[in-house]
Amino acid sequence: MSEALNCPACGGPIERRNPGILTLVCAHCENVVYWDEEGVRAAGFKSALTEGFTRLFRDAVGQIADKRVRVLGRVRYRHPRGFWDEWYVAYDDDTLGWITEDDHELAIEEPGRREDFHRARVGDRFDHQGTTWHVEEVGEAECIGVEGELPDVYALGELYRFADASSVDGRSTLAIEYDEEPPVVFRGRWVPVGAIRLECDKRGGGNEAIRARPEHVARTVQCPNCAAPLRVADEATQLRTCDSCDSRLQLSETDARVVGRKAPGAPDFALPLGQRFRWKGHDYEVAARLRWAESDDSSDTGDHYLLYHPVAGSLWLDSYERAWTLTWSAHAAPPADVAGLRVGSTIRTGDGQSWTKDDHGVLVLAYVDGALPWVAEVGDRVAYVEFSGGGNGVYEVVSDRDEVSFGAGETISPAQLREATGRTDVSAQAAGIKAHTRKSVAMYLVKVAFAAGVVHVLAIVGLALNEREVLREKFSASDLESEVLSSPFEAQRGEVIEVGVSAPTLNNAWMAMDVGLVNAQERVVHVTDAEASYYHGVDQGERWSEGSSRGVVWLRAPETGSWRILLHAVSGALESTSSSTNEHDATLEVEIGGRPGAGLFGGLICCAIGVLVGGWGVTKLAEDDD
Amino acid sequence: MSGFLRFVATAFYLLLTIGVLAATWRAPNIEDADEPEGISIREGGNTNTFFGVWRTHSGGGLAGGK
Repeated sequence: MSEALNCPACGGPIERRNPGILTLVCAHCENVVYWDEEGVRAAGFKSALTEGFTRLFRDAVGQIADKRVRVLGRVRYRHPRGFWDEWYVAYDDDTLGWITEDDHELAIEEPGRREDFHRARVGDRFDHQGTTWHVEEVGEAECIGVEGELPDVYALGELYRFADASSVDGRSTLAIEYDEEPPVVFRGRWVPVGAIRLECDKRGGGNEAIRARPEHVARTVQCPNCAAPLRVADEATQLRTCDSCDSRLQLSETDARVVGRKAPGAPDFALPLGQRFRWKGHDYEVAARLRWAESDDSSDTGDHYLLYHPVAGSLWLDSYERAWTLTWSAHAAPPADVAGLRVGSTIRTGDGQSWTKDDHGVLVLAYVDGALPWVAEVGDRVAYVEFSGGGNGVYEVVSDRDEVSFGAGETISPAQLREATGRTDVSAQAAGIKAHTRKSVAMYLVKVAFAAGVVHVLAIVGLALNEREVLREKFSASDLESEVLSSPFEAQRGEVIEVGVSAPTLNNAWMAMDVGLVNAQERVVHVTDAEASYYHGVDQGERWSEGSSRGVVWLRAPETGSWRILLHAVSGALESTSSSTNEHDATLEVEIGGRPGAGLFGGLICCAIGVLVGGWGVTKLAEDDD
Repeated sequence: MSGFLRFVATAFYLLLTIGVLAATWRAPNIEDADEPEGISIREGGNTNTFFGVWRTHSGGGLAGGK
């Protein structure tokens, strides 16, 4: 049920379509009008807002995610890192709610509810209504403008503290406004920017649209210092460096003011401002360039490029040690205190993805130019923790005193970089993977190879412990030459009988043996052969040796019972190929439970090679770091 | 890229370990009895001639040459 009135400021007709509306901006004179117990009155100030990133507008009708909405009004707040818009909307089921538009991200929020709530701090983690939340940002917001119809009285300049949290799985939002006690809590969910489909976007316009959705137009501001016209593409820009006089300008809704000068001597960035970067069908442009240095080593630097697209939003392109990564905002949270984890540790973010820690540290801003959505200053510090995983995926946690943000993304190959920028000079210098990621991979190799080695050692030890010697018997050379039957020993059905014959006097000679397994009835159930040969010498001054003076075979006991070994041996020297005599005494060693373990020893050598190669990689990369 | 390298390292050592353990457990060079009924060691008249007689009949055995 609507109510027709006249604007107390200009007399123009205004319509209040919902009795819950307490603030309305006159469409004719842009004066703000309040309703209270005494009736309608002018607030005494005008409010004109620039377009938001989504370019939603009052009375826009359409679909946002799974909800059909009509936009009623908007409140814009400024906070230390920029501004955000709260769009007040009516759903087609006659309920009301908010759509938050902050730095190219959208969230659908339910109407707020006053609840007892603690004062949240950045990084806090708490449970609320069955969900675990992670506080991403706290700060003080100032109302800087209103538009359309709103359910409360808003005063320009009004300040209140706020905290923004995300569910650890990155799907839901929780905004807490500490404007009075108890605070108002808004619960919602993140939706992609592409989830907005307005009637007026349809071909030929929609019947319900009162105007077309505005096209994105970069605005131009004039440098207050040198009067140069400056193009500002991103409507969220707060800082712009003048291309002509290097002044640092802080932008507001209506003006630009000089807040300093750009640091002298632009670093040798690989990409210029305005560089096109084509990614997933969108032509982004480099809007800002930042050079960061490690807090403990100012020569260890990396470059961050802010990429802006008027529809797709913004991305960060990072270059460090010739490796390039592309990241975008994410809200799935890591476990607490990831900075304290060792490099190579594995974590799982709230959305179930697994990541391996690559690096952490503190960065100090050394240089910035272009246009940024916050006022950055040389000397600003941020802590970071970097992870990799899932093919070429990357995940990062970046934090300062007031905000912790998460980024997800991927490593960019030199070929992708060439395709995105069209520049071969940059891609030719690019590497596919960061040095500290290589170090992390090398450390991972050490760990995996070591773990596999431990399994091999355990298997070898297990086999050795499982073995038991059941017979050790010496035979003379002549006994062996004429066949000899050993003393009896016991073995269970299926047990492995290791029959070893050691002839320690073998010296550049061989011994060939016939081995028979004899049961208690003195019947030979299996016949096989074994060989021992040992050669050594000196070749070109190098000593060499090969072979072994011990021959071994493994037999499986066909039955439980008493067994004996029937043994016959002949031996020969050096190159002789046949013999009917034996020159060497030998010891028969029978063990039960043994298994041929050469494969285990071979595997163990592979594991040792992995540990050595990985360890060498870690050491080498650490030396390169130094 | 790093994830791929980790995957390769994990797969290599996992397969190596499983393969070696399986090969050790199955141990193809453990020989089962090939004469379940057995042959008397008295074959040929006395214990000193078993392998000679067996070799003659089967063509096996190493005694007499490598």
